[in-house]
Amino acid sequence: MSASAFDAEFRAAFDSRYEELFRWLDRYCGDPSLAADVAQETFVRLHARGEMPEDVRAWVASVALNLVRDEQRRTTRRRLLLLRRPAGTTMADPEPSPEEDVLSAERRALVRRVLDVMSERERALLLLREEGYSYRELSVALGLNESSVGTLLMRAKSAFRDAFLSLENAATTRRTDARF
Amino acid sequence: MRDSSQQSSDEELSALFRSIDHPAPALRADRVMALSRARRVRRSTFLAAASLVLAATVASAAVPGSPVRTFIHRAFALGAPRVRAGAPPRTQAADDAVARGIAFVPEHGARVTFASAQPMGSLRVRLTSGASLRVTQTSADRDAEFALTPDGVSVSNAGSTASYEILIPATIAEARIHIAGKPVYSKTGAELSCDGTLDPERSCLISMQRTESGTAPPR
Repeated sequence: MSASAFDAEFRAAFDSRYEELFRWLDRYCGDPSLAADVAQETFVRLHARGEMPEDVRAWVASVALNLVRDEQRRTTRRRLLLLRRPAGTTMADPEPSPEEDVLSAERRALVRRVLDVMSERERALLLLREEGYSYRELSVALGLNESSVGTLLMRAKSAFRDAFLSLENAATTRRTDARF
Repeated sequence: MRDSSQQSSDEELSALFRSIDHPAPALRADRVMALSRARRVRRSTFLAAASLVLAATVASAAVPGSPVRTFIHRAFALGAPRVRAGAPPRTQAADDAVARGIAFVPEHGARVTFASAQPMGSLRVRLTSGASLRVTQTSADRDAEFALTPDGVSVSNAGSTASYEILIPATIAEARIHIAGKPVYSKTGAELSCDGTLDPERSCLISMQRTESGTAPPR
């Protein structure tokens, strides 16, 4: 494949996958700065390969997850990464949408809290599936047996719902108690 | 096919996830490609520099006397001369063997031969407590050339006007010195014979000039 043909293919892959990658990375690690750095680094590595992997989505997810793990191990560097980007620009919270009018800040905090306490595998399964990854792509990206992906995914969803509802009920009870 | 409650539940889950989203920072494919290429150039430059340093080191190590070669020899003791413990080397050049002199450790006896008589210059022969027999040129006149022979030292001194000193181990059984084929000094055991001036310290001063009969000219 010529360099220009590869560049064109890379450009197409980047344009169709970058926002998706950033989104699930942001949800996965709860740190938009880290997610932005990892998303960029993942695509730099994809371009440095000089050829497209057989399964781009699975390759990108796998590399990105490894990078997040590496970055999270280097906690000092992670702090530096956070400091490097001035706050309040692209990393600011989005403008409130109609949907957010319904979901309170408290609910968002609960979502984050539940995701943070889930295992890495369950969290990755849930969030990648949310981005439309097929069972085969999930099995390649996470190194799982394809036949067990469905079961693991159901467990992950169930674990998330149970934990979220439990925390939400507890919060509701606290609010009710406070009112009386 | 999923039932409606399952679908509703999944939509609710999606809404919860969307609630924690942040907008993706602006990033263009061109920027990513430029970063990748810059990294490739840096890597290539580093590899080229590393290869150059390696090649220079190898080349330098091949040059005799280079600091790198010396360092490698010292570090790994490569090619270091092996000297039998307790035994001095059979021969050892003096500070500047060809130009200024020569030394060796005689086993039983030794013969020092000066090829020619000289129009001037002298030879002093002294006994020493050391183990080496040493022949040195003591003046800076035209240089003689010194060489080891099977039984001692040969001095090519044609045309030289230099003076010399020979140190002979006192313990040596026999030593003989010739100038232009004529014997001028001999030591057999403790007995000395000197065609010159023998002082009380058994040091012998011999003229390098010879008459046609081979003896030292009269004073």
